[in-house]
Amino acid sequence: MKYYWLKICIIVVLLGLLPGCYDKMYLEDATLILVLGFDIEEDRFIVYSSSPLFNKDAKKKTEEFYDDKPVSVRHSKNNFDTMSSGIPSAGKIQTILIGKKLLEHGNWFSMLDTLFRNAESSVNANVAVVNGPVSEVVYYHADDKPPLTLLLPKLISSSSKKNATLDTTLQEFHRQMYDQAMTPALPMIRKNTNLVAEGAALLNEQGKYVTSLDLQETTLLRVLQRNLTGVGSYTANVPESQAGQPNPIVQSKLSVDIAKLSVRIRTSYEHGRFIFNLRYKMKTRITERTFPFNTTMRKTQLQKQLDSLIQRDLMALIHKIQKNCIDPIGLGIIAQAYQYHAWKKVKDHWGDALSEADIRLSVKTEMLDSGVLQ
Amino acid sequence: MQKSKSIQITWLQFVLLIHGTQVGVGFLTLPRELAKVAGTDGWISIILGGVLSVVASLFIIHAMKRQPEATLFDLFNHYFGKWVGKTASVIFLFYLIGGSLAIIFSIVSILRIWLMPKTPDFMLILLLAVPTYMIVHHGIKMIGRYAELIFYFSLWIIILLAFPLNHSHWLYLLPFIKEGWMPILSATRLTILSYLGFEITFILYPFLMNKKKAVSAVIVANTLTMLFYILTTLVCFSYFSSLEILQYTWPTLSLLKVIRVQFLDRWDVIFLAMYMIVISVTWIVYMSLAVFGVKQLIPKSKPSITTVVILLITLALSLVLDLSHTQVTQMTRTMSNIGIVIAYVFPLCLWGYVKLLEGIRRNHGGDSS
Repeated sequence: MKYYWLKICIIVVLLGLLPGCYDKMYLEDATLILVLGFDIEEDRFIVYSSSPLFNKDAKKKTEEFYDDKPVSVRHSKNNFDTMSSGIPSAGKIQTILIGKKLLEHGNWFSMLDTLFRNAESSVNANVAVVNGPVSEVVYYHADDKPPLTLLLPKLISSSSKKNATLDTTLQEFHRQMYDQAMTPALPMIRKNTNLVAEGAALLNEQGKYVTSLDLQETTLLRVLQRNLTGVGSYTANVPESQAGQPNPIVQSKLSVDIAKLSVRIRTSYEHGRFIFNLRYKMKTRITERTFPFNTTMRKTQLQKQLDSLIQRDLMALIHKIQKNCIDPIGLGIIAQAYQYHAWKKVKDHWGDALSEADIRLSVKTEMLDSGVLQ
Repeated sequence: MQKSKSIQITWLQFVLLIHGTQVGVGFLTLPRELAKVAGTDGWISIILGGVLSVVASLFIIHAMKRQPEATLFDLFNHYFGKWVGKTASVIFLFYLIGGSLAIIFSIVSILRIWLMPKTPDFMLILLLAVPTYMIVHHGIKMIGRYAELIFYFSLWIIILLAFPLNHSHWLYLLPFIKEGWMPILSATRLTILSYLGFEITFILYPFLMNKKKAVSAVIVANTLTMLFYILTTLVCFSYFSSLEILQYTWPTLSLLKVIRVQFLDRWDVIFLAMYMIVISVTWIVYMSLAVFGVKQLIPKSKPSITTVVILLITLALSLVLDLSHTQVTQMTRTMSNIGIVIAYVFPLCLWGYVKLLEGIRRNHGGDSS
């Protein structure tokens, strides 16, 4: 016990060392960047950011910055520092907005390097494409809506839960960009009078914008990706001739919820092209039927009709994808797994190989119920 | 030789000491290194590496069995004579100290990149040195207990690995053996590096309570490590696409970064802080074996003073050298290469030498001591 006092002294000295952590940052000194936007306007690359403002005197609850002469993304973070009241911190980014114009340029992905390279920045941010100028969204302010920094993540996550759009985090986007066997797909939003989610944007290997999907197509894309969360809703026009008595005012609509989805995909390689055999089995519930039809008596007929409707729409989507030489479905991953040697030969231009592939599709639905009505 | 009788470690402590020493910094980079050489088939190399390390451990035990009370330092003197034995002991000591330093520098360099870019290295090393001293100077019985305790603390890491499974693409793993066996075999050279740590059997074997169970102990320890590596590697391979994983220096940490729960982000930070304690077993074991070795060579030395000297050297080196991450990697690589010789090549030679000696003695009908 003769070292008793010595030990206490050492402990006190060492405790004094602990606050010597050089990396502390006080929350009141920080400006948390929650939304980061990239766009091209008048041929100039522009970086936007939006941060919440914790100040009871400020009427507006967010502050926005833009940098129209950024040397790089990292550099504009420093420029934001000169404009904001605090030190900008990239660790809490919730949403990353990318202007459609920037996407049309292609090869822009390397600009995001700093977001992946620095350990502090968050890779769980949602990535979304803005159909229109990013500035419209970043400076969007409505008195009857929560601040943009809260609104955007809510908007994307709630509509993606309904399968109406996609939920692509920065990390997932990074994976899709680096995966040679598939091409990226991002959710798309636009500002009309309000902010609305409108389906998905499909990009090619280089990250260049190729085409876009509407809400229904996005749901079908998620069906093809075997990535439905919860139930997916599907509505189709039923051809008049088969829908009992024609109705002059209301179109004959049939809506179903896809409650369960099981997929079997066979792939083979013959005569220099890939053959995919996709068999979808779905369990559905009728949620809407605007034409008279005896569901109990002629259930199989309605099922068959639904089969062909879904098959038609899925096939149309597949053709659209093939025409654009992209693969947001991830069929390449299946080809890679089961036909590796054939896939290896075409891996550098998988989109082209897929566009020549023979994709066969069969859909079989089973109606579980028709709601509380007959 | 008589001294070792007083200290004894249990079977479980023996197993967890080996396992704890094996799982170190390499675990964080292993998935990338494997993916680079063998693609998604890298996990097969882990099994092959595991088998090799079990074989090497068995050779160690067979070589040690003749003199069950002797540590490696005694064996050196016994088989090679005083001067050659002393030299060999010193080399082994330098390996232990070097290994310990390499691991401390690596973890500090990782901490600097992931958590505290502005905090100087010596500050972190100073903070690590205090608990290290408190455990190391108590000797071998204490590190046995420490390894056991930390093992229980580290079990939750496996639960963390379950989170990314939601977004895994198991099809990435197919087909097995994509490019034939060659890449898998050449990646095995990498995996045996991450099994380094079982060579501590050379020193710990005499302290094991029930020596008959030594064989089962090394098999269990190596298998435990193997399962841990395979699990992590498979989760990494199924989460990241094959080109993407090459982008990350520490795929395991990047993997944990994606865990998203409502109330907490940046799980890599929490993981790293906890994992530092898991890694601490590695450097603490090496260091306290080095301290034990010094005591064997210089019987008058005091363990606590030796520990302080080693820690002061570490601190001084971090102040003087101010190592960059590349230099630290280079240092770890050098230590691993020496480790391969000591852990895989040397046991075989020693075993052969002991066999040869026995054969000669039997032929000459000489006495065996």
